Amino acid sequence: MIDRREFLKMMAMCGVYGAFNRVSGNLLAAPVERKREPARSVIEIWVWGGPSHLETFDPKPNAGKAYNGDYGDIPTNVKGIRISEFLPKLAQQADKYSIIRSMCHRTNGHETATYLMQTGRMPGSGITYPAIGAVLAMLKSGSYKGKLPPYIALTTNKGRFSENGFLSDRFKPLATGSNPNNPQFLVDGFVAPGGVSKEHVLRRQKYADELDSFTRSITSCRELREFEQASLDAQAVLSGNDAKAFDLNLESEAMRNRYGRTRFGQCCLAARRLVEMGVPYITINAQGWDTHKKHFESMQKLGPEFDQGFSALLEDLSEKKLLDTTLIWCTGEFGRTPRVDYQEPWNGGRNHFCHCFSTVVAGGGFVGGKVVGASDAHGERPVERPVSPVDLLWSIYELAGIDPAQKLPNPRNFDLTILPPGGGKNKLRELYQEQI
Amino acid sequence: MRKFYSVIICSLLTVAAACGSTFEKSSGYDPFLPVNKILFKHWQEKNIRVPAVSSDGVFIRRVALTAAGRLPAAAEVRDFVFDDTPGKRAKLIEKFLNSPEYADMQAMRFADMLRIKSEFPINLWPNAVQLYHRTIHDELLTDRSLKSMFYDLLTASGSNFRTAHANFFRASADRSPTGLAKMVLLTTMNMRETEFSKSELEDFAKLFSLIRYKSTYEWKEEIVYNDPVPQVITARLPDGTAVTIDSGATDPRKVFADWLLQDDNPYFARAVTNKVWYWAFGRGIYPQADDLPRLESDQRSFWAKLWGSSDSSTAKGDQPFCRELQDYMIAEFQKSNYSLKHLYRLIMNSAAFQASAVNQDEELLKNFAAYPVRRLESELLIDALAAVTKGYDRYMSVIPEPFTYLPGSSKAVNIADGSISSGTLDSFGRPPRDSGQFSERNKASTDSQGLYLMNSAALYRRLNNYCRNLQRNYRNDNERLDRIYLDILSRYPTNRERQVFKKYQTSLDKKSRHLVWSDTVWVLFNSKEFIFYH
Repeated sequence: MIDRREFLKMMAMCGVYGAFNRVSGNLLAAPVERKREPARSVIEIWVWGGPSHLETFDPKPNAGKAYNGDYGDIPTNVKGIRISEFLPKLAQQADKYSIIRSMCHRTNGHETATYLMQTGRMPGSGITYPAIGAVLAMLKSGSYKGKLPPYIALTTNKGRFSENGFLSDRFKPLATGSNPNNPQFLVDGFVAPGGVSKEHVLRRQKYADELDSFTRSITSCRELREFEQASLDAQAVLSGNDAKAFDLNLESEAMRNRYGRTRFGQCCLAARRLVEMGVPYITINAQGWDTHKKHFESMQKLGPEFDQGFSALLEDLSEKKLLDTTLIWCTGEFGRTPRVDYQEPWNGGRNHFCHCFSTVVAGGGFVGGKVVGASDAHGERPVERPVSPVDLLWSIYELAGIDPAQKLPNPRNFDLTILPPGGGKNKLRELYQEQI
Repeated sequence: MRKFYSVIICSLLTVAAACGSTFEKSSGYDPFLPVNKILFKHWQEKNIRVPAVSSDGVFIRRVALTAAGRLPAAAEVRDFVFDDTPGKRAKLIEKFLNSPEYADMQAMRFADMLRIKSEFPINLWPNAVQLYHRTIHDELLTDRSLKSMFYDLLTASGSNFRTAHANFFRASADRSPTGLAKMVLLTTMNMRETEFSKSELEDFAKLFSLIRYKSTYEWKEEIVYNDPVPQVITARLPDGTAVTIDSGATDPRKVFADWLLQDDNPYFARAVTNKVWYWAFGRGIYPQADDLPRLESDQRSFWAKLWGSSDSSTAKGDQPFCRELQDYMIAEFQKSNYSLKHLYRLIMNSAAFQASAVNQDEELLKNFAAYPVRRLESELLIDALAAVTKGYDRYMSVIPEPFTYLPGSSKAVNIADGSISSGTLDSFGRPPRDSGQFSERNKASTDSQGLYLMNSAALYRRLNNYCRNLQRNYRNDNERLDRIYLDILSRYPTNRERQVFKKYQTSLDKKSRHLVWSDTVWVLFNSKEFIFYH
């Protein structure tokens, strides 16, 4: 009798081959005793810069102006859960997500905290670990048959470190660039620049082949054959339908408005379209949340955009019956200081705060309508069930069908596990729809 | 043998008359160059025929890319192709070696090797990156002896913002003594720790165990220094020699530097010659150019002994493709007082570098009897696109504040900081500069590269600009086509190509006839002849 861990270990060994050759089925994502399908896609909403937990999912209406700036909370559609008054639409979707109010770690620098939240490791070991998106993109590339890259960033990369770490460049996120809220979301390379008809493309290709003296004269070699294959792959993307995922004009006007005509809102809509294409990992890197100065003024703009985009995404995925197979996690690299700095030059600003912040998870096997942990009266420290970045990442991996204790196959042959060994003790089992 | 040479000399005399194809011609090597004598002998031993010579157009492109990281300008190609003075290739090599772009290109190579970047996992920080990169760049420009450059790198102490070379020991993701030892082995000897036993590595690491780092009140400033408390260290050098050092009297790093950089120690020269060979060909004199085998401990006494049969590498099959050539390169490098430029000069004048690329047979490639075809480095390809179209990408970094914006016409080759990049540069395999290994630079072809070259809106815009200027500046279709070919492929179009062009032009209806120019440029940008070294 082999137990599950043994089984996964075995599978991991088989997986080494598959992961690099895109040929194996989804061997790694098949724990034996599991009934529900693991999450097929993951959407990460990266609230870049660090959102204030007090103005989002952990309001402190009784803490006084020094902490809450006189902003309060509102009830949600789940009895007993109240969130910030900045998020009225998300309040109506609270049954679809769960809130972790006791996230904490020990680093207040953007770079280090981002690295920690993305890899579950602290920097300095001499190795750059891959972000969770790159790992999942790699391990799910066996079952993903689409032509778009397996890890897509809307619209820029985080840029703190090379997110594919020591993994192949293939699992580096494709940063779409452009702005999905523009009349046309021009993802460079994937979306035809316009002005060139399909017939002309074919004619031009024939011209290219005829003009190619080089290929005629030289004997072939591995590098040239690889290039030819890559060109064919690229042509397949251009002639196929996958890149239509980026064409938001194929959505109705009403649908586009539902997500909000903002960069963030349309990123959420694009993410849903990419999920429909089966892309395993999508990250929305939301910008502008590093509100050291005039925090509440910034929130007047950030709050409604975020509220509308995120709530529409939850509702839409749920209506399309995609929420079960799509895991969403939404977090910053940390929160913001609960005590407001009203002095010059901050004028009501909040700084970086790693000791206590909130993360939201939804779908993909996470239950909705629950709260994990709690912070103290001012939101400054967790008072129950502190959750570390590893605890959170561990749960996401598990629900995506990956055992994070397994060896991480990699081209440099480092002998490493996906997450630090023994890290699963405090995983978020209370939020699993079904125990693994 | 004599007969063989005289055949070559005869054909040398007819070089000017030799009718070449687009990519190669039948003869043109200088048989009297010592390096060619060695290569010819080696090929003869391997039963390999002396390969055809690359054509002038192919050659100037190779030299410009290898020495200066850029395509030759149309005028440079024209002048060179029509020049019929003897020794024009050697002169061309000198021209590119003495151009300012030579230092730009080699600084990029060195920055990869020394892992110059601001952020994870190296964390030199921007001010230090600028100082370090600029210093190395200027030393390469003046062709400073690598012996003295590396002596400074290995022994400098001081502030990362003021003493450029002190960044050498900061640019390691792992700053433990063993981590530093591994970094030093790779950077100065092209060797991996796996060549050494655990205890050997630990004993070697003791030489770096007194290095300390401290920060100052200046943001991100860091001082590199040796622990001032005198200690007696018993360590071992990589050749096994035991040394006892009183750190109060001698900096242990100096003991290593003195050992490494003495003239009868081949490790450093072997490493550098393999690096440069690798940079020029995409493969080293040893097949694993940055994972070289160890030499036996008694080899440091004499050349003959050095490469004798007792070499431990024999067992591993890790050998230079031609031992005599490796010896010669090492000797030349040391004789030239460790001049990088001299190595490039030797290599680019050699038959190996001037050989045709038309036959990519693996056996020929292994013996450098064919020039290896391989994709241009990311930075070079992006810069080539930019140089032709006069439209450069913008590079910036939002980390750390205040944001960094590089000037609008910055070349990718000149980006000092490995942390500053673009999606396009990354997708073509720009190395992250985390470890300094050759394998960090990804040479694979991927579909996203294809998508960029075939379908990027930004590239289309630049390409259309280029065509507008072309149509404005040249009246005649032939002149336009010549210019496109000279700009992009560094050669004139062949008659067949002119015909194919004409045929395509007439096949287009009136409404789309103007597309012939942008289509031709598009076709050449997407051609292997442009994207690959050949």
